This record gives sequence, structure tokens and C-alpha cells, in this order.
Amino acid sequence: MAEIYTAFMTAVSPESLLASIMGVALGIIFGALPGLTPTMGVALLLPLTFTMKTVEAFSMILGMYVAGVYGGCISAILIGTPGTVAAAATILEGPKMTAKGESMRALEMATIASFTGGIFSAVVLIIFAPALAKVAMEFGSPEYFALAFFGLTVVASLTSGAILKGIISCLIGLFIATIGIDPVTGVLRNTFGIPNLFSGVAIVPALIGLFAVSQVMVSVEESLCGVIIKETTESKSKLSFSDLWISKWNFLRSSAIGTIVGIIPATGVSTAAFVAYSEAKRFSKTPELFGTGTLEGIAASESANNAVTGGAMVPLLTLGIPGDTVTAVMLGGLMIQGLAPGPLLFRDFPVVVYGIFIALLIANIFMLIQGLIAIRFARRIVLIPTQILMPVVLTLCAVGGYATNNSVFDLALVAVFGVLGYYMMKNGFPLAPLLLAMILAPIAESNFRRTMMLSGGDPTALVESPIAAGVLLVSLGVLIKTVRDEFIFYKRQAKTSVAA
Amino acid sequence: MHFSIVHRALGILIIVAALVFTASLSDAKYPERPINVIIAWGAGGAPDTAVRIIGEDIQKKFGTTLINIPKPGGGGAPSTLDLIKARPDGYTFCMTSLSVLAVLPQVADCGFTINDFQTVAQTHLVPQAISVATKSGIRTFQEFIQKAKVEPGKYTIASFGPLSGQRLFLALCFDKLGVDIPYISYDTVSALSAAMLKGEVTASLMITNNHLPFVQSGEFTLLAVTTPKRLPEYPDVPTTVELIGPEFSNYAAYGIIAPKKTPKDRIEAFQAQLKAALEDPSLKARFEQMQMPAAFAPAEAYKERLDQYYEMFGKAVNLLKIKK
Repeated sequence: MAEIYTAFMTAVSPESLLASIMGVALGIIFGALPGLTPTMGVALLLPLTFTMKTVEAFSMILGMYVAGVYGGCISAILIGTPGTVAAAATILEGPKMTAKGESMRALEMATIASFTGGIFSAVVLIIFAPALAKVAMEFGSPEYFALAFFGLTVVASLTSGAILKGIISCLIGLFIATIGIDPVTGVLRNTFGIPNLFSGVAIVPALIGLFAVSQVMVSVEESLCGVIIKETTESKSKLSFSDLWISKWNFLRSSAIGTIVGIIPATGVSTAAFVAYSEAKRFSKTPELFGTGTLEGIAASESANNAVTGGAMVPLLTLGIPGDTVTAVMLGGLMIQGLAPGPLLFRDFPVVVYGIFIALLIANIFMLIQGLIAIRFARRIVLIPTQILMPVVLTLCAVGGYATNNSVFDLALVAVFGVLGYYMMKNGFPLAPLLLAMILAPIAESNFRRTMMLSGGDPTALVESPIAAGVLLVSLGVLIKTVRDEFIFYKRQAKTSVAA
Repeated sequence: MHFSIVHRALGILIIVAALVFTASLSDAKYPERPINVIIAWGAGGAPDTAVRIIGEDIQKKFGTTLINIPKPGGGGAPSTLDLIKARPDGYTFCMTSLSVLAVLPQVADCGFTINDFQTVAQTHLVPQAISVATKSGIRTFQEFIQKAKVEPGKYTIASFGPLSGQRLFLALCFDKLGVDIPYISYDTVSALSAAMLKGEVTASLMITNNHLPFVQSGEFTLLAVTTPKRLPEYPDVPTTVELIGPEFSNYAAYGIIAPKKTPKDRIEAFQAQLKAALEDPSLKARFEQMQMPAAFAPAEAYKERLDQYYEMFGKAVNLLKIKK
């Protein structure tokens, strides 16, 4: 108990609070600006923390982490450009709400959802960390494959009404994912002799091109044709308490999904957001409204991606295994402080561990406060006329595409994916399956092949463990149900048209 | 108007003077502006941190500012290509490792060969080790090899990437020992460590730092280190040189390279600053803390190591039939 008290006092010391506020402020900026990622932010803060006390250092780093994951939604909602990959699912709803003049509702929902997810996962971390770490350890290659496969079946539920086009989009993504060094043999695949493609097509430039550049092209086209698609006054519609109350199960479900995905190492924020989004759609009373600008979708994806933060800390602190790229950088931070994360950390440095827990809770609280302040300023962005805003967005796209890898080649990728995205959008092909396939295919492929190598080519290894078998079975169920629904939908449509 | 000639003469004089002045300045005082250091890995990784620590030190000692330019991806090819295309004026260098420089040109048309750049200095040598999960019951390297010979394919070894120095080194070791131990590649330390803990793979080859927490908690047992001599912190763990043969040692060998035509005096000047930094006890301690022992060596020595690794990895590339 004395330890918790000491930890609490260090975490609420003025230095720690200041560090947290600064971390959150920087995090929101890093999150909102395309091309600046929370991983980068944490990496840049790390040298500053060399001389700080551990809990102060982590107040700042955790602030950057949680706010960075959150910040991506601001640019996603307001200008249709995802600030980070975490906002990849938010982009499916956010810009549509802005177009309807409900940007403020969307932003407030995203902020509160992020806070809910963050706090949920922090509480889970504090209460169940050691027990959950054991479960995460059950995840081997077959389980990862099953999870990625499940993610890919999400494609089906994202594209109801145009399932064939969705599958085509997904296949394009799967093809793009084959580019690069073969994960097992080391043979170069489809790289066309371009060294920049050796490690595959980078996700961030592809994401920016697909969702932002294509959107710019559409907006420019529409403004040239004299169509005004966005609100010209500041959004007045506010989030109401009933909006929040309706979302309570959604929050809970999405936060749980985010936390679980976070705990499993080597998955990530975008996977969590997409899974939560599609689950919200399946549970929704009005699934047909998804994709047209719903609060439900934003609530799901934003609470899930922030729930990853606490989840990812579980294996980091208990096993020394980071759950995502940001926590991998944090591992370096802990080691610089002379702490080896792992089971011994809890025994030897309880004050530090509890201090980090409390710092995480505080970071989430500051994220809520500073986030609500930030969006009050940011919302004015919608007042900027399209003709001025779009060139700015395009510049941000270029900066974002370049900055992640300091690569001019990635700028070309942004352009190529921009054109691809534009033509896909114009012809009614959904973009999300392509992106999801690009994100998940490498996980699915390398884990499938690893499983096969480890089992000597025996396919039953895929379903030997109950977790893997269970997840695969659920995926199969989702798949069958989607196809069946689609079939019934078309049959009914055919009937009505015959009747007419 | 008659002033104009004077003006012109004056103008020319000023320009000449300025040129002479800057020329003498640049001769006397290199570097006169910040130096870019391209890094073959992402921001926040160990090599990025290494350059930051070196940068802080030479900033203090010489006032030289280093700018980190992380350029991850592509197996290190894009970073090397940026370097060889950079202006050879002593203001662009690249922090890279021999597992990039000595492997990629042999397996792919990556746009560079080992003759397209020059070495500046070796910065640090990271020792690596082979461990098994303690619950496998294996206690020694010999026991591991024996068991693998009796039941080929049952025991596996993991490391990172299908084209890494680690994979190639292991291929050479197992070829010499006449044993078939499948190599499994993982993407991250976390995925690999988790696989070891779960018992998915038997053994792993990683830098010693990655094994450390699990060795301390008793979950991993070190079988061998891949250094030429035993490590002071693990006096009981044999080396692969003792176990297999004199040529079987391999470090993750990091260093700085420069564009091919960079003037010799600038290379030497930068090398001298790196030497002063890397041999400073306080920097050595910080590097040690991050488990990447500073090991300054001059350009020639690093080049020699590069050639040696190039030949060694070349054999492995032939063995695995992944030659381009």
C-alpha cells in the first residue's frame, strides 16, 4: 500500500503532470499531422528523458503515445486525411459526417470514445496484467494466422451490397502485399528490380494516397463542376448524452476488442479499429447506415484504437515483449532507465510499475481535456473554402508520404495510390478492403508459412490449438452469414423488380 | 560613371576575398555546418540512438552537429543508395551494418556493390548468442546438435529476416556440423521471444541483449556466443569458434560509410571525432548500458571486416542457393 501511495505521489508531482501535459499536446499534433506518427514522437522524446526520473519520463512518453493514437482522428474527420494508421477505420465515417455538417459531433464522439477506450484498457492493465500476459503467450503462429484470417473476413462485412467489388478490391490489396522479399526464402517477389520495394509497399503512403489524395481529386472535380459538398458554417450540432448512452455497449465491446488486440504482440491499432468497426456494424440495428457517416462507426474505431495502448503495455511490462511499434521504442526507454521489463520488474520496482500505471490514467485524462480544447480550434478548418483547403491537404499528403521513411519514392507511391483510389471510388469499389488486405496479408502469410514449416507441412497444425480453431470457426461463420445475407438481399431485389 | 570601375574592382576584390576566406575557413575548419547521418533503420531503433549519443558527445567536444536521417526499409538498400548518390563533400555519411553491406549486393540487384562507397569507421560490435528455451531440457550446444542429428527437422532455430547475416551464419555453421536444423524467420524480437517462451521454436540466434531478460528469469539457457572470445559477463558460455572452428564468429558490426569520392582529409577529420567520442569512458558506459559495446576501428579495419564478411556470406548464399 505504501508503494502505491509513493507511486501516486510521484505520478501527480508537478514535474510529472507538466511532462504529461506536454506529451499529450505534442501527441495530438503528431497524431493529427499526416506523416508524423506516435512512434516517431516517442522516439524523438526518448533522448529528452535520459536525465529524467522514470515516472516523469513515462508521463511524457505515455502522453505522447495515447494522444498520438487519438490525434489521427482530427484530420481524418475534418479533412479526410488520416493522421495515422490508427484512424484508418475512422476515415470510413468521419468525412461523411463532416459533409453532413456534423463534424463537431463526430469529433466529440471520437474524443470521448478514445478516452473511454484508453481508460478501459488502462484499468484492465492495472487489474489483470500478469494473468493476461499468460493468455498472450498462448499466441503462436497458428493463432496469429487465424486472427489475420478473421481480419480478412471482415472485408466481407465491410462491403455488403457490393461483395464482388469488395473481393476484387481485397485481391488487389493481396497482390500488392506480395511485393517485397519473400518472408521465408528471401527471394525477391514482384519488385521489378526497384530497391525501394524490397521491403514491400509502405502502408502510410498507400493509406494517404488511397484515402486522402483520391478525396482531394474528387473534391476538386466537384468544385470545378460547381457542387458544394461541405458545410460552410461552423458545425453547431453537438454530441448529446443520449448519443453516449446509446453507445455504451459499443464502447464496451470496442474497448475490449482493442485491449485484446493490443495485448497480442505484433498486431496493431489499425487491425483493432477495423475489427471493432465491423463488429459494431454486425451488432448495429442500422448496419445499412455504416459508410454514410454514423457515430457508431466512429465510436467503435476510436475506442478500439485507444484501447490498444493499455493492452500493448501488458506484454511490455510483464514479459518484456512490446505489443506494437511504440511500445518497442518504450522498451528502449525502460532499458536506458536501467530497468529490464519482465516478471522481475513487478517484484523489484513496484513503485515504478504503479507509477507508470497511474501516469497512463493521467495521460488519458489530459488527452480528454486537451483533446476537447483542440477540436474547438480545429473545427474551424471546415470553414476554409475547398479551393484553398484542398491544395493544403495535398501538401500535407506529400509531407506525410515523404516523412515516414524520408523517401522520395514514397511520394510516387502516394500519387499512384491516389489515382488508383480515385478510379476505384468513381467505379464503386470500396477502398477499405484493399487497405485491410495490405495490412493483414503479411501477417497471415508469414504465420501460415511458419506454421507449415514448423509442422513439416501438416495442415492440421492450423487447427490443433483451441484458440486457433475457435477463431477460424467464427471467421467461417461470419463468411457464410455474409454470403447468405447477400444472396437473400439480391433474391428479394430480383423478386421486387420482377413484381414491378 | 567613373566610379563604376572602382566599384567593379572593389566588387571583384570583395568576392575574391570572400572566396579565399571561405576556402581557407573550410580548409581550416571542417565541419563548418551540420553533418547528415543517414541511418539504415527507423527512428528510435538502436542504431538511431547510437548516432544520437555519438552526436551529443561530439557536439560537446568539437561543436559538430549531427543530423539523424532515419531511412528504414528495403533491407537497407535505400539508405545505401541515398548515400552513394549524395554529394561527396564530407557532409553526408551513413550508419549501417555489415549485414546490409555484405549480404544484399550478393542476393539482389540492389543498385550498389561494396566498391561504391568507402568506409569511415567501425562504431560498435554487438555480440550475439544462441539460446534455447530452458524447458526444452537442452543444456549444451553439443547436446542440441546431437539431438537434431538423431531427429532431423524436429528442432528448429529462429532469428530475424530471410536475408539476414544471422540466417547465413547459421547456414554455414550447420553445414560444417552436418546437421539439418530448419531456420524460422521472425519479424521482431517480441514475436521471436514469445515463440521461444511458448516452445514454438527450440533455439534462437539474437544479440545477447535480447536474451538477457529471459536468461535472468531462467527461461532461456545460453548455449553459445558467436564472438571470437568468451564474453566477460558469460564466462561459462563457449564460443562458436571453440565449438565449430576458427572462422565461425560473427558480430552485428555497425559502422559509418561515406560516398566514394569524399576527400580523404574530411574522412580522416570525421573519423578522428568519432574516435574521440567512442573512446570516451562516459560514452562507452552509455553504449554498454544499451548493450552495444563501442568498438571504434579505423576505416581500413572496418573495410577488412567488410571484405571478410562478404566472402563468408558469399559462401552461405551459394549454399542456400539464393544467389542473384
